[in-house]
Amino acid sequence: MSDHPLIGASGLTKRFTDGVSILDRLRGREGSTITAVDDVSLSIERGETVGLVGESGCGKSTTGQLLLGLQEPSAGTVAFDGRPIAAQTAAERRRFRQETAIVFQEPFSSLDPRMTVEEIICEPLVVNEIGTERERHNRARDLLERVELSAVMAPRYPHELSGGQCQRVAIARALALEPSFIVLDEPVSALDVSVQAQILSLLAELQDELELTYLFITHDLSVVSSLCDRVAVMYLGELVEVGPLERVFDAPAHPYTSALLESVPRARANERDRSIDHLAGALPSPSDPPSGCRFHTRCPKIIPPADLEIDQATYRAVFRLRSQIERGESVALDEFDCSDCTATVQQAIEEAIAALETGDRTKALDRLDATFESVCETTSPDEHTTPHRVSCHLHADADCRDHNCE
Amino acid sequence: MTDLLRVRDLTARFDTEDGRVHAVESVSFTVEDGESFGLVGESGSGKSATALSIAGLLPAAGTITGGSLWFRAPELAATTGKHEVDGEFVDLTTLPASARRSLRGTEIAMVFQDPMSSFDPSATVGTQIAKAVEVQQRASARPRSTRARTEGYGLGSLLRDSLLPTRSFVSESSRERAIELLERVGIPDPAKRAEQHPNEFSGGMLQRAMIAQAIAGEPRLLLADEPTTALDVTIQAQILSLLKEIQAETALSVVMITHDLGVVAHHSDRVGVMYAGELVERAPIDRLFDAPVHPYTQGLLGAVPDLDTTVTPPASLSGRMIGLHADELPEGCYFADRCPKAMTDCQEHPEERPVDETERHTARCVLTDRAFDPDDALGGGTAQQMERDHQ
Repeated sequence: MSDHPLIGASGLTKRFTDGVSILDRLRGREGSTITAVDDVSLSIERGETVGLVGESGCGKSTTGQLLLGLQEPSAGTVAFDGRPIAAQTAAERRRFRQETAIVFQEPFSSLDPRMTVEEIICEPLVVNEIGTERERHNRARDLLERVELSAVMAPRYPHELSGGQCQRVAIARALALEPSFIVLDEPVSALDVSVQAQILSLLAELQDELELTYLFITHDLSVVSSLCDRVAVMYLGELVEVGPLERVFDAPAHPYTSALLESVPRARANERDRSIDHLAGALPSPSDPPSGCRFHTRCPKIIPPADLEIDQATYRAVFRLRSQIERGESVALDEFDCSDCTATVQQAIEEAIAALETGDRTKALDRLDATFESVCETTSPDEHTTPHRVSCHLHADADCRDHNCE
Repeated sequence: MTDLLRVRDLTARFDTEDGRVHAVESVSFTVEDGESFGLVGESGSGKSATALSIAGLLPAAGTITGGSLWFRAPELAATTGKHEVDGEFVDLTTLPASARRSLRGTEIAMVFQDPMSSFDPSATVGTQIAKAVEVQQRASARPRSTRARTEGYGLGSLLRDSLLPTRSFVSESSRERAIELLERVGIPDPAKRAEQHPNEFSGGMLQRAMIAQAIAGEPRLLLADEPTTALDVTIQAQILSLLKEIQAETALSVVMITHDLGVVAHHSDRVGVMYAGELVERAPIDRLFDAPVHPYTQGLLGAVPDLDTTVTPPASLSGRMIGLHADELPEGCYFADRCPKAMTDCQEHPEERPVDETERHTARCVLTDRAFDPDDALGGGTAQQMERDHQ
């Protein structure tokens, strides 16, 4: 055992630029740039399973592909077994490719419809010129057995298999070169719950037998709990919380993690009585991420300025008003009930509404900003290490309770 | 509470190149006013086919071959015709196509899984919802005017359509109503959004718009076919609470079709579990989760990973569902080959029987009135299952 993690990423960033042709460049036009993965650092120890969770479009899959060297990072490095993959020689690269594998979400579309199951499983062996035909044939049979499929499947084509069987074939193919690290990109999301459970327990068994290391990418938190040792939560390209499974699930440190956990409907009799305090809005566009903490536009625990006395519900309402004005949307003023607010709050809102009525949106916005601007909007939070890795201002500020942020 | 819909022994078949598929097999349940009935099962278990049968939207290959769909519609029941009437209820399966159509949207509406493919990409969202409003208004004014164009569209219809352009015209009031509906389902800046095309909407927003379209006709029954499956959990929570809100406001009954037991637990009052086209267990929500009788229900509940407690992989149902072609169906219980509690009696097809005296909890299983006897066991489903897998 060496002392460095099997795979380690630091400061990993991936930007995609959209819609720029050579002609556009000659004319000096710039396309819109999306930062899909932003300064992600994550290391995975041997034999460990790390769950990477987040909503669709948050950059989970891109991170997985960067770790495997399937995409070039715009900045940052990935080290495999202590050696940066960007510095690999051709032979090392080849070895790295054999040591790593990936299983995709869509069981049907990730298998070539014109190849038989045996050809699919043997393909990595053929590409890497491993074994004779006879040996490959035997290896395919072994692998089929390993993923609990019978040898009669070998001459069949993907369309003859069920979704679960296709996913087993995809796993067998990933195992063909005896890798040590496998990225599982939503491997059970397309499957029915009973088949999902079968594939999850197969993955757990294989990990025990073959000492595999997994990065388990999923949007479904309930499948994470059965397989992962650690969880990394991603939001708009950034890791917001990384920690051991039990701690992240039992005592989530980031408001986004709590909201995600709370949103999952539980299969239980008393579920109807549990009221979900759900997140408002959808994931903002990554081409124009919010300032400061990226989650502030949806955060239920946004921190009001220190000298302002305001309850969270009113503060949230003011916040919504501000973003409506900013986006130039129609504003529903009658929703406001400020009877319980302090004089400062009432005055600010009244002045802003007065400015709005004269049609001066900028003035209204400036007035509201002066009183209500939050640290969450202005400053991007640093990563704190207590209780575990988490990027949120709530953990920077020990006096949080005095600011009504709970 | 009064019943709104009584499904009795509904049976539907699909004719395919490979033969007849027994998609829905003698399914019975009732939906009461304002309640939410969950229909759960794995893909191919017949959930959607059941919903499409109720809506009268089965594809051409599918037909309802038996059973009845009693829907409470006093006005229709009062008129005479070929349709079967039972008090205030009419049997939807015997209604002529035109009367069936007049119920669609105005009495029975449907929300589908994939909002992106359910909207017309070439028309604005506002127009599409306004059309639903228009259809409802015309239907209540003149039931015959909802004539489908595919049916009997001849020279007369062509002339009428070209001479009376109002037929395809969406009135200003419908457009305003569409904006109101968009606002009702929580879409910010609805007036601007109504002018946008579906591709400018996110998945969650579009699902809200589809709900707006579905409630445009103020229906009494909403069939929601996997309405949140394509969405992220945070958005799913929003949509589910929106549905609950609308239900509380309008006394709408919902049939929630999903493969996710969590969604059912969160949303439904009563649940039916489907397997291989049959309703294998039907119970109030707490009974289903606390005291499931059918081994399939037990297996399904066991397979759901629990977010709050377990760290070990969940117990799983082995194997997979039998094929539903006529020649693949066994004589006995359809679940016997996977059932850990299969006994000799299971070689005969079980009837649906009540589990308790209230008859609100029923199961299609011999275990309803006898305990599992290991000495009488068929040797577990695994052996037969393996055999089929290996074929």
